[in-house]
Amino acid sequence: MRRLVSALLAASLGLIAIGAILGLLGHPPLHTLARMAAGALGSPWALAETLLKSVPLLFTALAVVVAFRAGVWNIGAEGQFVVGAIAALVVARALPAGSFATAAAVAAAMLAGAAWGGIAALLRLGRNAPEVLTTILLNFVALHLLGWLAGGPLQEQARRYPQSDPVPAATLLDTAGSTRFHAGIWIAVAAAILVHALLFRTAAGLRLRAVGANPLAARWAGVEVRRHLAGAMLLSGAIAGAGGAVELLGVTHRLYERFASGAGYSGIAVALLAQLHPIGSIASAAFFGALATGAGALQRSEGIPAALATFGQGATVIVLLTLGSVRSWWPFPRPGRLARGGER
Amino acid sequence: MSQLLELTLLAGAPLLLAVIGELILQRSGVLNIGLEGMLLAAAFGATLAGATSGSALGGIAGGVAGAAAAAALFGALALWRAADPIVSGVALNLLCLGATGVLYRELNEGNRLVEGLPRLPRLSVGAMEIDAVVFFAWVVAPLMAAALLWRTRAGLRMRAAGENPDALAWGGRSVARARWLALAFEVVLAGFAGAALSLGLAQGFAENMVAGRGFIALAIVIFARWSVAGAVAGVALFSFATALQYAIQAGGSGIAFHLLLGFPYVATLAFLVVAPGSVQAPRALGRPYPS
Amino acid sequence: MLEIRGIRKSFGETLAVREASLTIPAGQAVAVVGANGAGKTTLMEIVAGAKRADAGEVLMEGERVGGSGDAARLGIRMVHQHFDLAESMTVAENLALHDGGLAPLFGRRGIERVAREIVARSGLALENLERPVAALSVGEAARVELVRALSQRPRLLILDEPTSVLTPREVEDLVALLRRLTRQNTAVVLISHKLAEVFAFAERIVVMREGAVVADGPSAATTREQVARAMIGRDLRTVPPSRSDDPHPVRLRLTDLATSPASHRVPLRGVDLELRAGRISAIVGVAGNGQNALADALRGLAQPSRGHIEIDGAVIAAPALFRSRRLAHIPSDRAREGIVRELTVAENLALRARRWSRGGARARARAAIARFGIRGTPDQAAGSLSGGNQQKLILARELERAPEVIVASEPTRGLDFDAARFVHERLRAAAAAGAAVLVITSDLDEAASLADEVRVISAGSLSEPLAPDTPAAELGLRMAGTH
Repeated sequence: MRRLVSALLAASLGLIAIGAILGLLGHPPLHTLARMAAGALGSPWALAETLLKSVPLLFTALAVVVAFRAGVWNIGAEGQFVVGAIAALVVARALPAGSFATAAAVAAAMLAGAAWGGIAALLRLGRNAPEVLTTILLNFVALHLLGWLAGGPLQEQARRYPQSDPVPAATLLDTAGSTRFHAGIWIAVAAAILVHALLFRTAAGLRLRAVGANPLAARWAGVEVRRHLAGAMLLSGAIAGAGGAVELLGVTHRLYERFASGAGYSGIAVALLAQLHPIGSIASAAFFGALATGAGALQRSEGIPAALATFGQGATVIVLLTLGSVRSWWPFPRPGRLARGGER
Repeated sequence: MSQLLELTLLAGAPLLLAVIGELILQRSGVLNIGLEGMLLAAAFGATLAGATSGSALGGIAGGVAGAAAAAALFGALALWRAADPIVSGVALNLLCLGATGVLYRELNEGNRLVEGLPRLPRLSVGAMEIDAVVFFAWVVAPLMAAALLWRTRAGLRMRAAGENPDALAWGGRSVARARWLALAFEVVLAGFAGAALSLGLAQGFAENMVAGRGFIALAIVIFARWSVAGAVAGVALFSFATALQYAIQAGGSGIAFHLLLGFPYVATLAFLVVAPGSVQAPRALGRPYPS
Repeated sequence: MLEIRGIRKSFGETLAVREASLTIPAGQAVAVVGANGAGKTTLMEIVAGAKRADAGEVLMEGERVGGSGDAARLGIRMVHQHFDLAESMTVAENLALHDGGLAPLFGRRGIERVAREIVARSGLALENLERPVAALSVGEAARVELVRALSQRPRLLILDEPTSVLTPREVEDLVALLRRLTRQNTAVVLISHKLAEVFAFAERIVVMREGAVVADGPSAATTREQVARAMIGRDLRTVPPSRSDDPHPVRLRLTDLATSPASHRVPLRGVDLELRAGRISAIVGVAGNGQNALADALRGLAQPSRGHIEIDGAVIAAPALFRSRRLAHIPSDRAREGIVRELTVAENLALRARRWSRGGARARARAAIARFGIRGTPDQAAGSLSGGNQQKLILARELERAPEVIVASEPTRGLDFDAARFVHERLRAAAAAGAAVLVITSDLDEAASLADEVRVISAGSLSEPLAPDTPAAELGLRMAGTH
């Protein structure tokens, strides 16, 4: 209950911060916020767009939830999301079009994302290199890999733009009516429920949470801490990778350089607002999805930059930190030890 | 060849300033993942103040002010409230990316932030003419940082705060004060770096113009093993590789541009794999105090 | 010169210092002795201004000591058991760090010059100031701390267990040095549990037990036996040796087991030990004599550098030992190692379970709560339980699967009488059911009342097994390293 209150408070204060910057720039805050809300929720089309935008956020947020709950600083959902999409595209285009190809593409994306996270896990466990930094580096490697592929080996046949050819229509996720609303949202919600079940209904999830909360006690109780750290990192990467596949198969249909556009970093804000709770992440992702859609609408109608949504994410997390509520649910006993990667 | 060298020095200047600033801060035990955001704020501040005042000096002051605003927020969370430094840094990045993006487009009506933007002053060194900030970054800043860390009482206390804050506190000194001071040094250097980016390397601000330099700086601090000389060497290596890419690209030899861009990140990761011994950071790095 | 009046100090539920009053004149050599947890370090940290008392006051030359600033101004210095040195920094840097003589900006030799002045002022010899502290032996590091303390010309010097890490030769030197200091009118308080050095150094001995001063007098008028008895709080104890002498099969055997000094400050130095089914063995000792290394080795957390561990006659390597479900472990630091505070009681109980369902875990938790008398609910955060209930929770988790070997470290530390008795009953019951039980403790009463045999651990080595009715004074002397 207290968590819900602090989340709602943080979200409201985040909106107030957006209102403040709008006011600072000479836009009437309440009026503009109302237009933003209308742009995000005011019509079926807007609502579909909001849900659409929240899907990748939900995937990356779930990736962050799994990692942070286990005390692993995966800041690399962005890169895992991208390599997932790359793998999905390759598989989707290689296989005969159809729902088998869809499933295979998502599976390949999960493997690729897990492998990408696995590099950071290996560096942490083998070399004591802090994953908070290696995952960031891997993000850039993934982005440049994508840039190279989109302009090179995977470029469209026409060779006009640095983008891939689209995935065959039969392999794409189903869409509803004339909107861009696609079946990926059910996959995302199912993923949230599965992550919730894993964390709170299985022995492995229990051990994962124990490792995140107190690795020392977990070890004395017979939990193999290193194995669980690695497992959390792999799973986290797989979830982010699945997000990349769903975004590709449901929304973009093609790969291009700016495919991820910060979904990985935004996922951290989503997960934190959800207090690292998988089901709460659904609501949190919807909130930030609405924020992004509303900001996009404002950019079209008023010319106010859509970067407003990013500002809102940052402001919300800062409010969360300031509220001090962080201390009560924060699963990490010693941030420093984790930042150093110093599990011994 | 001299062109390649010039490009290396020019492109490396903002990066090196950021690396040295972060190195000083990390020596005091604080990890600032929000460096990227701080650099953005600095680049934006430099553009805004430069265009308003019309002077390079004003631009640099604006850069420092921008960095200071970001640092005040980070410090309030990570030092004063002892909140988690990693989350604080991530939040700072998002906030700065969003805020500078919104503010720049809104304030740049009629391109008034692009036209009349001052250039940073230049210096003549023999036949070569270079930006003053290049000289500052490659010569003055490293020497000053080394002197600060190894030749001043304040630097000694900063290092103690990063190694064993309890020892510092037991002697009656304030750990928070040492860390705030280190943050102030990062602010000044990041401010110069921002100015070097928006008034030197580029002409004016662009959304997300720091383009990952803040993150690269974090990696180079590890690569440098928290030594100033290592930082200079790391940045030189990195910028030379970057300059080489541009040269090759300009030559049109067809080697994939993006693969080259990604190379420095792979190289840094590879270094973490092959470097002897495990990574040894300042002992209290990332540990809030009081914890 | 120094007056300590009615100091009281508690940490949460535990009372560390009950009531302590002392007067120390200038130039006196005082030893404060007591068993682990007697409150001697806490009392002296209050004197040095590092901790604040709940009640009472400390006066130095009539002035009240309120914090570390006051203490420093009034000439009180304390050298801690854990040295306050920054390890990657050089000796010179560590010395200069707090010195007022260091200029804001110094030259290439600046730090070294200041450090040399500090060394000169201390009257001690110290060379190679450019070495990083990490490269020093513990003895050398202790010397750096002493130099730092003495350079400030203290009027009262407090040393907390300075000799636990020193070689005998270094101890002799230290005692001689402290003698010299007292002749120069500096009062020296030595916190120790080693009676040999206490008698070599002190003219006055203060004994603390359970947070109170229980004996205080000139050392010339006391014997070691009297001090040991005062420390332990009782005289000879007679335990009815009614235990059967049937041959019990050996469950666990340690042969010449040693651990690396890199992983523990005091490693094991070749330990032989047999644990038999149905028997309770106790290992007693003052904390920091290799207990951690022993517990870690038995948990499979420390790789033996020599020797091996056998279970039922088969050698078992550390990783397999870690995974083995035939052993149960009760770690010494309940709050940090025993429970995950953030998880619920049911979740903590299920940490070792292979399968988990919330309903099943709750049902098992309710059963465990009933069986072990835990005052709490299945869905309560484990961190919100009291200390005694946390320990019951750990016992419930570890004993549930009827382990063959139980290793319990300080199982009743900080517990009230009823909770401690409950823990003992459970361990006895487990032994009666056929488990081999090892209790590692610093509480002699616990060892005597619980165990079939007692060994003393000292500096990483084990004594031969002793009868549980071995006089406490003798055990105390062995623990104090005088045998």
